Formats: sequence, C-alpha cells, structure tokens
Amino acid sequence: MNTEREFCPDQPCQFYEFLGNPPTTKRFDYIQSWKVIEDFFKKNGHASIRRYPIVCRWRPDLFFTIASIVDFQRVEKNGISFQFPENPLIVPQFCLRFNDIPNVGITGRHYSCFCMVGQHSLYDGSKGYWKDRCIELDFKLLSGPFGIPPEEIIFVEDLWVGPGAFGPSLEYFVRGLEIGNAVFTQFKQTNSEMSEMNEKVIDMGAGLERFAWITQGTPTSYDVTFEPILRHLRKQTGIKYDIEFFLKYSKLAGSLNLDEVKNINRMRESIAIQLGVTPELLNEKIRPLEAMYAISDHTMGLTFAISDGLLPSNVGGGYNLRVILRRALSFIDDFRWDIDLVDVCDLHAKHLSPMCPELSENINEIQKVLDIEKKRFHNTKLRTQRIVEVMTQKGEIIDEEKLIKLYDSEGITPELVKDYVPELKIPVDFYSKVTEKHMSENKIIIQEPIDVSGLPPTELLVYEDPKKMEFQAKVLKMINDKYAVLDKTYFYPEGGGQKSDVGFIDNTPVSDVQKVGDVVVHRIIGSLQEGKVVNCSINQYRREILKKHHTGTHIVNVAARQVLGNHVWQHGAEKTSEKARLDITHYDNLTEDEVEKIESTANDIIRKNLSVKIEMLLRNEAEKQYGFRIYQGGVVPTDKLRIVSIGSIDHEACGGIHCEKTGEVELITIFKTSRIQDGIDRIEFAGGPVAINYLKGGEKLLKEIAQLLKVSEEKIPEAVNQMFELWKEKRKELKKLGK
Amino acid sequence: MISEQELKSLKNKQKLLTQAAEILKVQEKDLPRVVKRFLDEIKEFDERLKK
Repeated sequence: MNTEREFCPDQPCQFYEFLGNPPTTKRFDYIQSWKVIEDFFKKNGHASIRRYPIVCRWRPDLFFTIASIVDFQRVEKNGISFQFPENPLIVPQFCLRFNDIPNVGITGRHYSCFCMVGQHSLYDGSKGYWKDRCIELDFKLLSGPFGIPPEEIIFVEDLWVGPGAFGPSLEYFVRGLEIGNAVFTQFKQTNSEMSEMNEKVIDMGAGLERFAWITQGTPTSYDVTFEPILRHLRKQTGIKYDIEFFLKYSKLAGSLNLDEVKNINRMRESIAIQLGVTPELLNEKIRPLEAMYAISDHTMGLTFAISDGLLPSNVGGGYNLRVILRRALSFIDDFRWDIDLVDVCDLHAKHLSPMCPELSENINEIQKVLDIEKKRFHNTKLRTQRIVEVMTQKGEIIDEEKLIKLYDSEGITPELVKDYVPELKIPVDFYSKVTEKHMSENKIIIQEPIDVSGLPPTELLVYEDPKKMEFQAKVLKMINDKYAVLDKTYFYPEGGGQKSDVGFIDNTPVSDVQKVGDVVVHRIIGSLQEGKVVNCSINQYRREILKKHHTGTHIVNVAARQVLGNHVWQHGAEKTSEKARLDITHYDNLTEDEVEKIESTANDIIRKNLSVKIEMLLRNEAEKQYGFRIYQGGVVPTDKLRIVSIGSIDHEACGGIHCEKTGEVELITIFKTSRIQDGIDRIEFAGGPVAINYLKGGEKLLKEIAQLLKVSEEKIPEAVNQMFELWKEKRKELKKLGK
Repeated sequence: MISEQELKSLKNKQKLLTQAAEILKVQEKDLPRVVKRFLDEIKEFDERLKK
C-alpha cells in the first residue's frame, strides 16, 4: 500500500508518462506481446485456448463478443451460467464494440475492434485460484517478462456490479496507462438477498494493444497495433509521419475523450497554442493520421466479422458492420486517397496470422463482400446529391435527427451530405448514436397462451422411439375444451421450424401439437374425457415428409455453404409437409447458376447416402468438438445439446426428427429463391415424394402444352413466345380496324 | 430413389415450363389453361379479321 500517493494513476490525473519514455528496455510488437503473455501463463498452469468468434452466436442478447468472459457465458433458463473449456485459462479474444466509435483514431487508445487478453479461473476452494494468486500472477507478468519496475505498477481496488452478481475488482496501471482490470465475481444478488457464490469467477481482461504500447511508448497505441497496416497506408497516401510532433501532441491529446470533452475544436485550439502552431496547421497534420487510424481499426473489425460469417446489411449486427465500413470509405473519399480496403484487410490477416491463421483462409470471401459493398456505397453517393437537393429546395434544415434518418433509410453518411452542404456540422457522436440501437437484440418473450399451471411435465417419448406411430396414454386434462394434455406422448410438438405431427386420439383428429413449458398440448377437433386411457395414432406419411424436409434443410444449408462460401449461415427455416424453406445469409441475390449448383450439391449429398447421427453432448463438449457452427438454428438454452451430424460435413444443435441416412431424402428440388431482406436469401424447396410430385406434375403440364401447341417439349418456350407475339399483332390489327 | 438421369430430364422439363410461364407472366399450373385461351382468341381474332 502506497500511503503517500495523492492522486489516482489514471487520466486525466496522471498523464501518459510512458510516451517516448517506456518504463522498460524490452520492446515487444503486437504479436510478440501475446507470445510473452501466453508463455508466462502456460508456464503457470494455464491452458491457452484459441479465440472464440467475434460474432457472438451463443448469446441470444448479443450480436458481437464484447469481452473475453462472454466466451464462457451461456444463457440458460435460470440466468447466465459459466462454462469453461479449461480451468484456469487464457484467451486472446478479439472483440467488437461500437460505443467508442467517435473516439477511435482520436484518443490514441480507443478501438471498436481490439484484443482482450482474458485470464479466467473458476474457483470453488479446490479447483482454479482466487484473488491473491491472480494479483501475484499479473504483477509477476508485468515485472518479469515485460520488465516493468515493480514500483511502477499500481493496483487500484474498486467494486464491480453486474446483472445479478458483484464483487471486488482491481485495475492496474503503469505510468498513467490502465493495462488491465481483474473482476472477482464473488457474490450473487437476488431481489431480496445476497449470498456468496459456490463457484467464484475471475474475469481479468487486459488490452493486448496496451501491453505492446507500454513497451514501445509510441505516440498512440495504434502505431504498435497496426504497424504494418499504417506503413502501407502512409505509402499509399504519401502522408509523412512527424513522430516528434505527434509525440508532443499525444501527450496533450490523451485527455481528448469525446465523451468528456464538450468542444473538441476548442480543446484542439488550446493544444495548438501549447504546441506553438496554428489550429489550422494542427488539424492539417493530425486529421489524416486520425483517419488512417480509424480505417485501420474498422478494417480489422470487418476482417474478423466477415471471416466469422456476418455480412454488412441494414439489420441487426450487420447494420453496425456497414456503419464502420461506410465510415472507412468516407474517410478515403474525403481525403481522395488511393486505398483499397481489401488490401488493408489482407494486411490485417497476414499480420495476425500467428494468432488467427483462419483470417487468411477467408480473404477471398472478404474481397467479394467488400467489392459489393463498395458498389452499393457508390450508388448511395449518386443518390445523395438528388436527395439533398430536394431537401434544401423544400427549405428543410438538416439537423442531427435528419442525418440519422438519412443514414437509416438511405445509408447516406453525414460526410456525403457535407459534400453538398459544406456548412453542415456533423455531430461528433453521430456513429455511436446510430450504432447504439443495434448493439444487442431485445430478448423475445414468448407469451404462453395456454394455462398449464399445476400440470406435471409430459413424458415426451418421440426422441426415444421416433418410429412408434401408435401408443396408449392417459388424458390428464382438457384445457379450454380443445387442448388435450396426456401423461405421455410420441407426437412431435412443433419446434425448430418443424411443424408438428397430426393424427388421432381415440378417433378424434389432432390438428396441432405444441410444447408449453414442459407440458405438451394436443389441439383436438372434438372432445375427450379426462382420466380416460386413449389410443393414439400419428400420421406416418406426414411425419416421413417432415423428416425428409428437415434433413433436407440441413443438406441444403451445407450445399449453400459449399457453393457460396463460409459466410453462409442459417438465418431461419421452416419445414412443412408441402415444402421447406431455408433463409441464409449471403451478400447478393442468388444467380440461376448458383441455385443449380446448390441443388446439384444437395443431391450429391443425398446420393452419397451419408449417415445422420444423433448424439447428446454437454454444451462444452459439443462446442469443443464441432465449433460454433452448431448454432445454425440459434442458441439452445440447455446444458446438454442434441447434435445432428450428417457424415462429417455438418453438425448442428437441433431438436428435429431426422432421416437415418441422407439417401432417405430421395431428392431435393429448389423451386423458388428470393431476396427477403438485405443480406438474406430465401430458398424454397421440397424433398422426397413432394419433390417428385412437383417435377412429375411439371412434366404432365408440359405434355399438355406440347399437345395444345403441336410442338415438341423442347420448343415450348419458343412456341409460347411466337403465340404471344402473334396474339399481340392480331389484336393490334383489330384495334387499327376499329373492330 | 430417382436416378441421376431421370432427375436431369425432369429438371430440364421443369426449366422449359418455368421459361414458358415467365413469358406469359402466369403461374406454371395455369399455363395450359392460359395457352388454350390465347389460341382460342387468336382463332377468334382471325375470324373477326376475315369479316
């Protein structure tokens, strides 16, 4: 304890004294810094695990991974649980956050995309470790491998309070720079009481950027994090980097946090005076560099997110990706630079390859996505002039609200508007305002319209014996005279996009089956007596078709991924007895050629007659074995997952009823595709007898038309066209003659 | 299971049907009825033109 310390070790109480004066003779770049950290923790009993995707598919309330601890949080019925694949562990977790966008490039330390070094331990008295060991390790890491003098490392105790839990936290600083923050989640809090947790969690998160920065003392942390990228950008733009000047500027600009500084221009004027230059000259020197830093940050975020399967769009998390993409493009346009974002993404992938080799594998897809997005942005630019002209002719004042509306409805950035309205003042927090509402999804609360209170859980046996089509059960209750609750059932209740079974209970038709909590309710047309033992039968033909359509949906999803690329994810699906539909993420309309390839790949998978294996796995185990692609149908809030595997080509967490072999699907025919929203394509298809009937029906129709037109089937389109032209010609002639 | 050759032939026929339906901007199932109507009307137009 340093009783003589009079002020806190953070900005603005303490300036960044390490700038140009690092506290250690050791110099590490970004990748080396991770290696040093990894080696240290591995030597001290930690498992080093690979990063989780930056697109957070395992949490229904988040689009992106915003912290390393999110990797291990799972939303279950009773709240958030922690699932650690190893204990203790470290992870280099790349994260995306959008709340700091205005500060990115300006403060020297803010990012939208960054790497959080996560040091985590689950402690129950026997396994893992707790506070003292955590502090000891963090102190040893800084003072040992990083060579920072012990007296320079300052720990500050605080309290951390999160949803339903809290505990002490320790932030640690070196020469004014916060390196990390260790949170000790120790207590849980319900509405009325608090108690100590049986398993306590250490959540230490530290910015990898800051570890590297403290050893180099460069003007900004971006200089270290994006070193090869900035070298490329300087070469492309011809911008000279006056490092001595920028060092002086950075020492003063560390406090330029736009959340706290009311007027950035006035602050800049004050800095210019201190540096002995005019504000104009300062801006001239600083603004291009800030733009290059922001471009470097935004392209790193795009590289990770697109590589992990999310596409820029105007909805959900894709909205925020498009914001950073358009912001980067606006900077390039603004300065009239010759910069290709694909080259920049490629440089990120190469630079980060020792930590994330998968980025380079996906660079072709990143290129395709960025090329299309650039064209879209160009089209937006062409529209901007006309839209702004109409607004000004009407005398509309373009204020913040209008700017947000223009971005939301037309994708027009404020920078584009400024080209036509030079006096426009762009709010500094514009981008954080537009991204704020797209940071997370609101959880959907499903209302239970049927009251099943007091009823025991139904014994749902369809998974145990999916071939059983007839059984006996006891009617426990009739709800509202139309819903029968049995003690057990083999009926499949609607779920996972698969429609329910239908059939009979004692000759009374069953038209729908739903799960309400743990109780299965059978919608019947008629009445049943409570307490009676009844004979139940399931419509086998419909079940068979639903099975084929469900397995077919998994097959079409794999086929689409194989044909279009790794960015393809299932966005939604429905399997009825008439057809199946699969909505996939893709950056463009599907072409005829692509649809044909998807269909033919799907039919190849069917012909290979691969086995469809079903296994129950602990969530941890399933994620470890098959990765996060298992969450194609969304997050499943249970600790055990039912994994459906098609050979070795596809593994999904799924509660549906499936064929045992792909050959049972018989055939897949795609009959319609459409673009249902930005970034989402819909594929409608049928399998098995439905597909065969559809094609045979088409064959019959074609025969009829051939007879009518008296031509061979191959000539039908040509003959129909000729007939239509002839009809138009004769009608015109009649009109001419006034008949 | 349907053979690859048979599937190819059925798909080809389906493609012809889709193309024909697109020319007249009607649903495939309605195509025979619509074609018949056009043919009848052409006949009727011819008769009226003769008069």
